[in-house]
Amino acid sequence: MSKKRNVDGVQGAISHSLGRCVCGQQHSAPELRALARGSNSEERALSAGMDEAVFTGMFPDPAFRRKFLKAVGAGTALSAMSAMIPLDSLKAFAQDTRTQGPLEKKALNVGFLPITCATPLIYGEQLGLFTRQGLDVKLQKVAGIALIRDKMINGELDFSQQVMPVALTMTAGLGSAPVPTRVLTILNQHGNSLVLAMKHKDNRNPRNWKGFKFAIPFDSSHQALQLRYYLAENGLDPDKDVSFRVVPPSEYVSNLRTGNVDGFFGGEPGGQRAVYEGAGFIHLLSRDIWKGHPCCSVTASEAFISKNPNTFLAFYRAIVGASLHVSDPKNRAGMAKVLAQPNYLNQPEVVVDQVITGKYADGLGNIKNVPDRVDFQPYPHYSMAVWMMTQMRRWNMIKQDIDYKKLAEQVMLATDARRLMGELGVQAPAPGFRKETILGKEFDSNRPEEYLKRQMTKA
Amino acid sequence: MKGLFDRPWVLSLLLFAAFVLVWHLATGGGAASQAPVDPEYAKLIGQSGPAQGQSAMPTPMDVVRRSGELLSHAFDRHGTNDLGIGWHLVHSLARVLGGYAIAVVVAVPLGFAIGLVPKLYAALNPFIQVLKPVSPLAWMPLALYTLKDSGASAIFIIFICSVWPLLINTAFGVSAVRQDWLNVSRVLGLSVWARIRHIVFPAAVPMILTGMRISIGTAWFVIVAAEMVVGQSGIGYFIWNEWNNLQIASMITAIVLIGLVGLGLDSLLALMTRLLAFQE
Repeated sequence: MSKKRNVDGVQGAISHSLGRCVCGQQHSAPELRALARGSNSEERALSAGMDEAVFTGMFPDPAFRRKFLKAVGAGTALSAMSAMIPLDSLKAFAQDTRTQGPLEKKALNVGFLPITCATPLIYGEQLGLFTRQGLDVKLQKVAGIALIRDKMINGELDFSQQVMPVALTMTAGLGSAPVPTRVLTILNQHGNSLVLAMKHKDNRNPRNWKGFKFAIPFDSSHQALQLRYYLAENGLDPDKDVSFRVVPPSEYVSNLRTGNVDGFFGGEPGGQRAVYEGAGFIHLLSRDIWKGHPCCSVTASEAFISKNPNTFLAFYRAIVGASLHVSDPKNRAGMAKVLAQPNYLNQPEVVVDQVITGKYADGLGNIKNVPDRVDFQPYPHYSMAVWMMTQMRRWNMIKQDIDYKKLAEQVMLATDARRLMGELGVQAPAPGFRKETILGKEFDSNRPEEYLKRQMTKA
Repeated sequence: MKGLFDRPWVLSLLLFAAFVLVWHLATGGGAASQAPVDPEYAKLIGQSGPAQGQSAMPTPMDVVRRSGELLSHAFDRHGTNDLGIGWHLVHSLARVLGGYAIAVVVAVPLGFAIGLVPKLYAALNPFIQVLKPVSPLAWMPLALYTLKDSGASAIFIIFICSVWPLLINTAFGVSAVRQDWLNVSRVLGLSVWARIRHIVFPAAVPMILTGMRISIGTAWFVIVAAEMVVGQSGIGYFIWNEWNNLQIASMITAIVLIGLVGLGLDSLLALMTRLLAFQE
């Protein structure tokens, strides 16, 4: 790694990375130490690239700096510094331009939906992480999930936000010709809510919801699956007792107000906007059903990936970096202002802010405080995909039994995500089928068939 | 006083003023909802400060203010998803003119052919009659699937909706040329080509232009719907985007602009008709 590139990269990286530690662990800085060992003068050892930038920032007075170094030695100074500042992740950012080979395609069209789930994509642009990878990314606001799917199939979009179950059904060719699709990262956890019309504010028990009409963004989206699970756990048959209508998020509030639907389960800021407009109240947050549940994902087609491996990796690296940045609560200040712009979500800032900070009005006169109302952890757990598939099978959206675990391993790029997170100094778990807890019940993703059998016989 | 109230534009103005007045009364008078319980909560639901909770309908003044904002920044660009309203109109017009031009190129010669050859007309008529009433938007999924491009699909939708009025009007105009004139041409011994050029075509021009006028109107109102579905830009996309934000004042502005542009397109073709029409 050349020293010059090191300097260039770091100055940009520092501007948005200082003052945070991605994983909260103490980092070692082997490269820095090697640098210190191999040089004659301790001052010169530190003059290389980022070390000087950071060191000078910490001790602006040169005389004091020299005295300090003489007293403790460069090695000690470096390890002390790296204990305080995540030098490893700074370094990883600095190395961003390092790719395996030339980029096959630089101008990329990337789709997003105007909801808070898209935050990592938006911040990939805002922080210049795409540009740093040599990519010219054009973010396109797309009107809906089905349209994203069509634009991905016809190649108008290279990467896109998409609800994760669609990636699974497209890969398996359920309902259409198979289009193998991969999930690079999960964009967000939580960040959805179940909102009911004001007239139901005294009817909070789902057991009394027979005949309700719910708006959902897409039939086989995780929102629909979670809502179905919630209703079924409360003794309703989602297929017979209630009805679902696929409604684009832009129409939630007007449908709620006119009484066309009794409630909706969708991505924020839809729910918070309904509260802001006085049209509904937040019955529950999606995290109350399943803590850590996956929401949208970043997808690319297998065909695109194999044709453009370097571009794929460069984009992947940028989006992982962006996800880690926005998932840190320390970086959330001012985020609502950026997201609320017409170019992105096009919503009032006060509405978006309540989603991002988790301090929100519930529509019934209470202020709630839920700091993890939305999170942006990128790692694509297999278990998430397996659960979605069991539920699609449960409600007959998948007509036959399939190998749930195999499909999950095929679609969720857990190994790659783990490696790229590792480059940024974040330890992700080894790919595996972990257990989840959903409405207090355990789901063992290692044994999907048993879980499904239990659910199907009970129904 | 005679005269002033006889002029139609005075009546129009009065009607408009009455409409705005009713609108103003209907939207402005709404008292604020329940007194906010807790100022902090009120802030979160947008009921404090100057932004007094978003009411469902903006007042006429809101719309005027918003129009002013939109029009004064009509050609701004703030990133790929935030273009000024002028750009959206330009994009919509480009799509409409693209699809419309293809329709004219296809439908006028074809209409001529079926107008001249009654047998061909009879053979094609069932297809035309079945396809004509299909809503252009019904073609959208099919277009997206086959053309594999949303921009091309929008142009295709415009093509498919403007082709029918053009085709039918052209065919009708060609087949309805006065028999006397055709007889005269026979007496004069004109060749087929000369007959088409000097008699049939000039006689059919008014009907062709009528078809073109109907088509441009249809195309302009279909583009809005098409862009709401697939748009990345265009005035339909603009409305969708503002709807997302429940920005009704912007939507009303866009509706008025759509109307004005539609009127402009129609007047343009009306002018063409006057200039080119064959005077008997």
